[in-house]
Amino acid sequence: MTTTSPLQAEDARADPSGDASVPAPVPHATYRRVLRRETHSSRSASAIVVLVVLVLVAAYVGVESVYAALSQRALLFSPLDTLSTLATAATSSASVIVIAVGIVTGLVGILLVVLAVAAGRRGRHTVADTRVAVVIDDHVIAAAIARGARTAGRLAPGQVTAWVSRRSSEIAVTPASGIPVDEEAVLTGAREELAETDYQPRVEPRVRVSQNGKLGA
Amino acid sequence: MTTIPGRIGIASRVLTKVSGAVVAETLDVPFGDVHVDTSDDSGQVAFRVATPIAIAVLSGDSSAAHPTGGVMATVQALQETVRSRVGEITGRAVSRVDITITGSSVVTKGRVR
Repeated sequence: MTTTSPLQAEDARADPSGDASVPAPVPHATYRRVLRRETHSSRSASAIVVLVVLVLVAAYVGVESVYAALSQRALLFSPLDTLSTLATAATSSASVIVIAVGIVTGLVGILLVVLAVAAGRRGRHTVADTRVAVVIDDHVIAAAIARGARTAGRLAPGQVTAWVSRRSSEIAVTPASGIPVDEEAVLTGAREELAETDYQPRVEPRVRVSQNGKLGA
Repeated sequence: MTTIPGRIGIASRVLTKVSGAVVAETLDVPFGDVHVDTSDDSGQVAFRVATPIAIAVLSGDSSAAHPTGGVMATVQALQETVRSRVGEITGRAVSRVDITITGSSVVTKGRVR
């Protein structure tokens, strides 16, 4: 913490200018950083795994070097032999093991590249607020949407299921047998529920009515 | 539809009982003899009814009139009756009524034993 804490910054801005109708986006750099940390997953776990593996490989190469320097037989295999195998793998008739190891290594490499490049978003939304930094789990938003949709559509709790992804929400409705679902009411209820809180990024609801009904609802 | 918030649910066994009562009333057979299975048919209600049917004695007096069209016409009328009456009572759309006749009870109207 170098300059001012968020609390002090808040106090400084607390003078009643009366212009509360225009909420600035998340105000403080600290808040922005905290929100980003909370909505994105850290890469430290994969970094730790990769570094531990590298340490082990380096240690093994060191041990084999000592064995080679003392002109003893290799402990498991000689790293130099490995290099020559690698060099001729493309041309010579490589054994099944070499091919398998190559494929596995390639997959691990692709996985690590994906981990490094992908955004690593966690299922969370933030709320645009000038005073506090708020993080809301997508399950909570989904439950709120499901409740709003259920009340508006006059449906039973078991008839509505909602999922929330980054920018959209899907509401699955199972109608009661013999009663058509008022899709418009369900959508309106979900929209009203979403409008109550300023989720970032915005969530757009979609309604999907199941073909089959639920008896006795 | 009222404007008061809230939902109205009807348990499936209620639909079963109501349709059984409608069948028993329409065919004039004991309620306990009517067996109904209720299921969902693409979002609407489907009934599978197994019931005996009341038939006038063939050699009997003419006071117990035979239904015009015979048993088939009676059963077809019953399908429509179940659909409309259950729809009226429960407010559920009925899309399908399967009827199996499991027996007949002979009507002996006006006979003194």
